Amino acid sequence: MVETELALWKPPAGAATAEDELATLRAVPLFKDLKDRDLERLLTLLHVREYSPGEVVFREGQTGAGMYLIKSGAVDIVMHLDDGSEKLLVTLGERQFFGELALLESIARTASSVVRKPTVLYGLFQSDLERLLERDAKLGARIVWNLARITGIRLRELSDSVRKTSKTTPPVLEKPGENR
Amino acid sequence: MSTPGSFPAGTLIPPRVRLTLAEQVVRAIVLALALAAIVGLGWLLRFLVVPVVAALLFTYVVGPLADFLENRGLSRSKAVAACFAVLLGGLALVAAGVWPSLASWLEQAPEPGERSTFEVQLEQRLDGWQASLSARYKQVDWHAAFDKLRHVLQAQRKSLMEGLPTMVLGLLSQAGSLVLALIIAFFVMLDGAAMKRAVVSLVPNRYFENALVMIDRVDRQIASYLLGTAVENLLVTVLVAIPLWLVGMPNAFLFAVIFGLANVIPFAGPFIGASVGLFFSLLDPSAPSMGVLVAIYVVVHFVDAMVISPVVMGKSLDMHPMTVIVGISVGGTLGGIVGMLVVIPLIAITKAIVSTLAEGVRNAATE
Repeated sequence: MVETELALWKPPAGAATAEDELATLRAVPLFKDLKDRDLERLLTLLHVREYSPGEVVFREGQTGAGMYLIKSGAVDIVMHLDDGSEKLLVTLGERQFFGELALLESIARTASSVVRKPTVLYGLFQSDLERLLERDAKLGARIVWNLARITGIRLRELSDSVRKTSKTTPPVLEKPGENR
Repeated sequence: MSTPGSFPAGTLIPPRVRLTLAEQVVRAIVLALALAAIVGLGWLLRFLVVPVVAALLFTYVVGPLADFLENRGLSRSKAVAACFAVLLGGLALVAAGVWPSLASWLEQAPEPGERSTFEVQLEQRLDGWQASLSARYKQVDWHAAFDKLRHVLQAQRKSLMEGLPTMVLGLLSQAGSLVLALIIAFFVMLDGAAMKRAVVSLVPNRYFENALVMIDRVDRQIASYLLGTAVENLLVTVLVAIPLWLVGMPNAFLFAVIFGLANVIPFAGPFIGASVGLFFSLLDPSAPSMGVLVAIYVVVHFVDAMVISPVVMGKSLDMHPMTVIVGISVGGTLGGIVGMLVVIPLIAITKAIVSTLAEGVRNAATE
């Protein structure tokens, strides 16, 4: 670990080796272009959590505090629709991540996440990122930069999706004199 | 915990687990027992309270300097070592500043049966006041009143001399606590993040995010309050020391340190700190006049209230003045000066915990 050279207290170690953990992080777009030294430092900030099938990581509407990266297993991202039904948006697998917007701001989660099979997640939280920015501004800034790029890409995808939907769905026009 | 098989038909998200009354009772009992065990353990280890609290205080105040040095490229251990070097250097400087005053007092300590220079000066002052008051207000029995005052001062002196060995022994035992506090602080500064993660890893998944947010809020409240307070009162100490020294106040640095330390207490602190210097000037003929000292203390307090505190503390306290006044009254009643010192950070911590728990309850209600 890079955090300290004299670490006396180590968090409980998982079964995975350090190389496995680094390989997981290397494959994540958020940590693109980071050196192994930086990834090792990042590992010291991550919270390792184990979930059973059916366990909810977070629910839609809850205030978010950070993002999760799937080390192993699978997670369903589910959204409540206006008619009360639920829609499976996507099933995420190993080395994919979710909830990243909460890294920037403590806002309500826009969907729920439910674990599908035995899963190990890495949690990276706003407070940890802020602390990283205080201790290693270069590394923190690189992660925030990647996060901004990914958020931009997702925003563009959302705009495209809205544009496509508006082309296929005719607009509802107001009748003259109708009160809203 | 629910499993996918237990989902209601047509749903993708398992409903929240609703405990039966019996389960809730069992959970409450287990929680109460766990809490009692923690309190019991805390009582057994109460001798560690002072060093641990002192270590945490030190970590909060000096930690940002270690972060800064680490950010400039130093390894964590070197950054922490540099902080300790700065601390020990600072302590040596303070000791060097205060020691001459203490040494001169010790040199003046009288042999048994003799009277110290200070006592002789005090006696002369009392005689002077008695003569002046007796000449002006003849109808009052000043002789009896001053005899009573001398008797009280004599009793105080006796109890101070008898209590001195106990006080010195107490201070020596506190020195052991201080060393322990420094050792704890060293490792907390070095490995604090890993320790926090290890504690958070024990929290069940369901409460994990809330626990993390709560720890972080409490951490930030304490850090911003303590760091702001330390910087503010360091500046106040320097601002008082310079004019006190310029006007020729004996032991100027010592009285500045006392004023700076007392200034930590909101509202009442400056009065307590100033009263020590003013009382001394009343008794020591070589001290500047009380008017000059009052002017210095008032100006410094004004600069602190109008400039230093708003700039350094900002909204770190973020508390209504009424809350602060009531808090200090309660703290002072329950724990004296120490109570007044610790009550404000305690209120800030409680506020952070309550707001996070309230958010947790709101989140728990989210379906």
